[in-house]
Amino acid sequence: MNILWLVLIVGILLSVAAAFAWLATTLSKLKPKDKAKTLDDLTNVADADVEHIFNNEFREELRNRGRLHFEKIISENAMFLQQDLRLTTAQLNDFMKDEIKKTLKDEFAKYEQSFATAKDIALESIQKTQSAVDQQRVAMEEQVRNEIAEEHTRALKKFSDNMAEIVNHYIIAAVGTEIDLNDQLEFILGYLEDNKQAIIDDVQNGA
Amino acid sequence: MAENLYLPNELITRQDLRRVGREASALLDVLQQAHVRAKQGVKTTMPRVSPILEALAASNKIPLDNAQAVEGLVANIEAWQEAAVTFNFSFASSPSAAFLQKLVAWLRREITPLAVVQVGLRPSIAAGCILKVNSKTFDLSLGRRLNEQKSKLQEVLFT
Repeated sequence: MNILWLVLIVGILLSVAAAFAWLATTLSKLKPKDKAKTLDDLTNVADADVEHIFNNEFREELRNRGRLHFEKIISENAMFLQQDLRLTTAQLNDFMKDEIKKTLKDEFAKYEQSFATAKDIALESIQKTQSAVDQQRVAMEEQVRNEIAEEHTRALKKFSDNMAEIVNHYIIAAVGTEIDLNDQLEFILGYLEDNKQAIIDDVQNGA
Repeated sequence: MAENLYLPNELITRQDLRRVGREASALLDVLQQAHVRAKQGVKTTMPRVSPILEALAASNKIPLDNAQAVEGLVANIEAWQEAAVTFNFSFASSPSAAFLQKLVAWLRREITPLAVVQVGLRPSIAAGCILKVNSKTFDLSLGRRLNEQKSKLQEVLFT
């Protein structure tokens, strides 16, 4: 068996070597001018085949396929992008909600604290003001009471002082010139008698 | 000479004294003229004299037809005008002549015989009078008495 396989492999190797030898002999027999002619022909044939194989229909078909494939890719990507975007938006909404809630909570807490502090300060201030107003009211009441008492006393004194003046004035106005001077003679002479010595002194010392 | 004669109660004011002085001087002129004319046989009619001059002459027993006596009277009146003491009285109303005569009689009897009176009006004093002599003023009015009695009036009013 092994010998059979070995013979087969050697036979194949000999065949291959014979083929290479034939190919080399054939190629060495070709002239350079012919060789160049053959290359150009091959190039032209290749060009012709290219134009023949990749004609406009084929190109259009390729273009359509490419466009469809591209659209498919774009569509798939858009879908993925839309899903990502929705997910991101949802997450972002949740994040924003949480953040806003937290911020608002903090701010409300601060606001409540500030409000409570302001309320305490306002209450304290109101209490102080009320206390001051009460004190002022008490002092003012006392002052007004004193002033009223003083004014009352002053008015009474003025009334009593002026009352005598009023009565005197009334008596003088009522009497006026109604009393006859002849009736007053004794009264006047009595006054003169009372002031007699002073009158004599004035007469003697004056002039 | 002024000590021998005295002023009658009818002569009250300084104006009366001046008027009597002028009248006595005029009478003296008439008497002197009459004396000169009598030598020529001309009779002169004597002028009428005022009641005050008559009273002055009567109270001092001075014959008004005697030029020498009248001359003495004129001299006395001039002396009185210099020496008379004026008592300025203010009354609430115009006093009567009788009132002033009684007043001046008291002044000449009690204060000085050469007292004459000057009268003014001041209705505000109501009753009594205000007397001003030389340098002093004596308020003898009812108003002053009432003011002096103000405390008593207050006591009566407010008790």
